Amino acid sequence: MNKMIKGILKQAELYKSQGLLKEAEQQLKKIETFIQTNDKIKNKEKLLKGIAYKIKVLNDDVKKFEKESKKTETSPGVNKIIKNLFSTAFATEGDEADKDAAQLEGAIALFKFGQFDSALTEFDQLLNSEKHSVISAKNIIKCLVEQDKVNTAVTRFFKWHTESFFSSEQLTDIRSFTENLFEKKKLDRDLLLTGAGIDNISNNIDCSEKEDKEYEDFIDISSIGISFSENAITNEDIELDVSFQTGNVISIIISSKDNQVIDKLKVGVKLENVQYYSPVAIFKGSGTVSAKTKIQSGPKKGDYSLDIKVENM
Amino acid sequence: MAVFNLKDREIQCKVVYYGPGRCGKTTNLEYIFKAYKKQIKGDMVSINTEGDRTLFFDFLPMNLGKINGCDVKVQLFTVPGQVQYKSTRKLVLKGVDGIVFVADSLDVRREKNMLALKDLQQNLKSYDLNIFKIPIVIQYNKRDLEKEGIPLMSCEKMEKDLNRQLKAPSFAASAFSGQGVGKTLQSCLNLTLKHLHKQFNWADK
Ligand SMILES: Nc1nc2c(ncn2[C@@H]2O[C@H](COP(=O)(O)OP(=O)(O)OP(=O)(O)O)[C@@H](O)[C@H]2O)c(=O)[nH]1
Ligand SMILES: [Mg+2]
Repeated sequence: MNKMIKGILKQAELYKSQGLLKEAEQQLKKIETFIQTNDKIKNKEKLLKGIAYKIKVLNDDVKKFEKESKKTETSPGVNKIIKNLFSTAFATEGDEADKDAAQLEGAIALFKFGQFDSALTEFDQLLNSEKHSVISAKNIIKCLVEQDKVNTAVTRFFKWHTESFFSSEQLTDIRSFTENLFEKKKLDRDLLLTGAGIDNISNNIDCSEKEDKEYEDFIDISSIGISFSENAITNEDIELDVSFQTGNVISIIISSKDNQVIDKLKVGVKLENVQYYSPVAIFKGSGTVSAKTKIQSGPKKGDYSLDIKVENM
Repeated sequence: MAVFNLKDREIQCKVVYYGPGRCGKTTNLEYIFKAYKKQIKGDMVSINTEGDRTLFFDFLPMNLGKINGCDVKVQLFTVPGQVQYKSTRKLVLKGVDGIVFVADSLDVRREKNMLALKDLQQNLKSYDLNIFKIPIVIQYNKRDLEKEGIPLMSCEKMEKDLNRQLKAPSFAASAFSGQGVGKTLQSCLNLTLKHLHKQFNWADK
């Protein structure tokens, strides 16, 4: 018994040392329950006090880490590295256009890593690059809004209008981008109205800057419905949640209670009538059971994990 | 993204270490940094929280020397594994040529491994990359803890959990002692360079 507690304690210490604080806490709680429910243990009070103290220390650590992970401003040296590493357009010697493209990419990376001040500096420089001035202006607004400096953003915005730095077409583009951004961030769009002198702003212009497109090469399936049309083992169809998906293979978990279903779904069995539910739509198709494993540990012990290869969807 | 400089016969590619939080990605790079001094061409850069968790990424530049007459340079990156940094992981993954998926052998991290693999698949998809087609190897890390009596999953079990469909080369390792670290990296580089060769024929030009 002592040995067992020591073993679990050792696990808890190791998890803690690796920064796996939740896992460490779980082990300590295990010991706590064990001591509480076991009458043969001497020094109960003292042991429980010791464990409670360890749990408290852990919880303090958890809080400390949570705070830390919010801190994001990094040093200028680091920002330079980010800028260099995340611009893939490589500047060839003497080629100004390429250099600007690389700088733009670096600036966007800084923005995405949350380094708004450094990103602003970069975008400000890029305003003078003919090719990238509009996208830089948009990003300047974006940086300022992210930093909650809405007033500064509005001021910059109007300054561009009065300076005739941009053509009226460009200004319309920047304006509609800014309006969309304000709307998205639930900011007051009326702030952008005064004095601009531009009517009938078209919101149709696609001015979102080059964002990473979401490609869908295989749709996310959240659950599936199977109906056993022939030799129906139940009158109803069954619906199961998808626990894991890689590509066109989905995993589902079947409770050990569903004997009949488990028996029916042997490896290699072809399912002709399957409904695949995705967040966007329901697809009808077929599938093949490609693997079946009994879960050996954890809360789902005894249940079966089944892989189904999606076909003809 | 692989960069080919045909004039100087130079090629640069990017390998990313991916996996759940605390599985040992940074430790892998630290070991490589220590053990392969000759091939390292600069400092290792780590951007961490104070608790030594990766905040943005680790970065380690390597120079493999001449392969088929081409100077081959590799940039090694790690992602931050903690769940809340998903968008940073995506950012670091941009332009990736090869992946080392580091899985944690600790029993208590079973589900985290699977979620991380799923997260990788989704992030790749957002760049129009297919996890089944990209060069990828899997590492089962922290094997050294077995003899300490800490509950670990067997490699077979993890193979079933993570590699049943992928069928990627997989390696048992201890990033802590370095065992298996070099093999993992070598295998990934092999796959990556072969893949790039198929795509671009760089060695023949
Ligand atoms: N025993 C043992 N410990 C390891 C091994 N690899 C990593 N560790 C420990 O696990 C903890 C986490 O390692 P890291 O390399 O920081 O993990 P990571 O994957 O970079 O973590 P994140 O940056 O948070 O995603 C540290 O305490 C390491 O010392 C190993 O092979 N064996
Ligand atoms: Mg790390």
